[in-house]
Amino acid sequence: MTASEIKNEQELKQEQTTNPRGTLPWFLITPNLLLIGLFMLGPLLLLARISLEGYQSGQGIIETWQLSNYSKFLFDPFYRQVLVGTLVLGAEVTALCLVLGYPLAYSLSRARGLKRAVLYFCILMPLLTSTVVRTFGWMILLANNGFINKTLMSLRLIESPVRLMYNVTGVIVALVEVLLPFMVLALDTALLNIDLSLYEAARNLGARGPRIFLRITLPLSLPGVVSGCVLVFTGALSAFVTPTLIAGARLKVMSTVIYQQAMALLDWPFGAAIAFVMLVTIAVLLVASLQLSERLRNA
Amino acid sequence: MSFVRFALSIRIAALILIGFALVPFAQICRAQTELVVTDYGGAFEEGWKKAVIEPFEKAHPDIKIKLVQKLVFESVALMRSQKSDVKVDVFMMDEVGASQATAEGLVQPITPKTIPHLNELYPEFRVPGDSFCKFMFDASVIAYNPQEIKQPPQSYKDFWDPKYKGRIAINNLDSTTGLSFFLVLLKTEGATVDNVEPAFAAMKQLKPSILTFPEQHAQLAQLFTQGDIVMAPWTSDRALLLASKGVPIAYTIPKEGGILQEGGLAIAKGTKHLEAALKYVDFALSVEAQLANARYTFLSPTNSKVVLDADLAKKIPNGQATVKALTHPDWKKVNERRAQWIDRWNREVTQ
Repeated sequence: MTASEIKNEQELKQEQTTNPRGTLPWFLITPNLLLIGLFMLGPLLLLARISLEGYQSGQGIIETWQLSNYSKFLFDPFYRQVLVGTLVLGAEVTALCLVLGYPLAYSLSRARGLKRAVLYFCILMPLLTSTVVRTFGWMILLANNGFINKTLMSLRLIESPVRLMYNVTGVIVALVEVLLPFMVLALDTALLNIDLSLYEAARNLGARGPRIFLRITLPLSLPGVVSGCVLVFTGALSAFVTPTLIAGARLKVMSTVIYQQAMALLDWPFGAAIAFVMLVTIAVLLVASLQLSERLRNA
Repeated sequence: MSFVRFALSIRIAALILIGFALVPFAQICRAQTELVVTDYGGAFEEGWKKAVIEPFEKAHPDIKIKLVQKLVFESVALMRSQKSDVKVDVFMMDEVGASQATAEGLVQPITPKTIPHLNELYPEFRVPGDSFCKFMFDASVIAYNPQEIKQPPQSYKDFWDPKYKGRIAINNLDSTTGLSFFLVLLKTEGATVDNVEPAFAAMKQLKPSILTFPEQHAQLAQLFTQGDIVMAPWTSDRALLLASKGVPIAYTIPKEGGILQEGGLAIAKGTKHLEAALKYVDFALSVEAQLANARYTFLSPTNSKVVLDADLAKKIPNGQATVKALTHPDWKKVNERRAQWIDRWNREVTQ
């Protein structure tokens, strides 16, 4: 029996166990499909329609079919810069979460019993408070007269406050805090799935720590890395409260620009168009990264 | 399943069904109208509940008020989206929002006949066609920390003083406080609504001094409370409200004068509870409600019959002469240019 035959047989077996009858999966996803169709697809279609309408301040929405909202966004360097800036912010947050999350996830996956339970709870902690409360907490810590600056100044380590808020630094710090659990949990699942006998085999063959990590742990946890990155990246892109409260108007990200158009300027069509540009960008990046992970797994 | 358990579950099911059937019946018995109204929430709401909602419900036991929190432009957005099926009956919004809603045909005009208290308002607070009514006013002011700034600021030019670098906040232009500051700036810089060039030039100079551009009152309150800023353009009522909580803050109307800012109530066109809505709006204009609002949240009364307590009269802007002295911008013109200004502000000031 060749290696590829073994693989095929395994796949076949997997198919049989996960798909006992053709109709059952459909039956199971129907409620979800209905929900998504009603509350996700419906409003999205409505949003798509609005994004093609016109707007005249003082008169309201004008019912036409036009693409000018999209061209207004795409041909304006200011808005393109907002899009690029948002993606860069998302990438920075994702990279930080990965670097900080990997060691954490590794220890979590190795912990057992009560230790694991306590660690698990601590990691989930940031998700247990509401966004607004958590953000206000960060404001108290990061402000010019906040805890961090006051402490540093009383220790005479700095003379004037370090600007931690009202700029992108504070936003990255706060976003990493709240999105880290998603990264850690995704990585934890992947790391737990690694067969421990592989490590024993590697050690038997004389491999050491760094080599085991690079040849076994890292490649086998790649699916977790990809799904964690996807979760964190999309979360960072769509964050609204954190950039608004911590950075304020100085930092322009897609979500705050959409809010300004839709809520402060009441220009729904332009706001809807920006929202769609963001949606399509995220979708393209997601498909690309999933395809990449697929290729990595097969390689 | 045994017969006993089967019978029991049947009985429970029947009880639940009867319960559902009784709900509408109970509602008819009470015959209460539920009126949904908006307010600005937060510290403002504490006062509004005591000054208006509670006494109103006491006077009209057949009307139940449901309060929802909406900021001005969220309200206009909601009015637009509920156009075909009105769910929220009365909206609280300022001139900028209300005139936008009026232009889009979303408000139900009122008359002195339907709102008798309208006749008691200072004439300055009546709007053309009475499309909505104004229940309070305040002045745009400079709020400052008296512990840090001993001499009250004399002029809006003080914001450009290098000693305040990094210790001031200027509201973003998409909020009404920010817009009022911008209108004052037009005056101090010799600009006009049609030529805003000098105002933007001045803002570019000020830009490095500004710590942040808040958008909501709560954010300014936080900045003053934490001591991150010592001076900012704000409104008289909000500064006093924060001072009443023990925060070191005072306000001054500098020599350039202040902008008259107003809070209004607009009834949604197509409301299913017009009669109750009219009663509610009329109540908010009454001497009783306005005096209570002045006491609780320092809102200046628009009703000319209100006699303020002596110490309150010293604190808050009030009276015909004050109303006349404040600047009344041409909101229609301002609204037409607002989007354009904000777009430029985004690119040149907050970028």
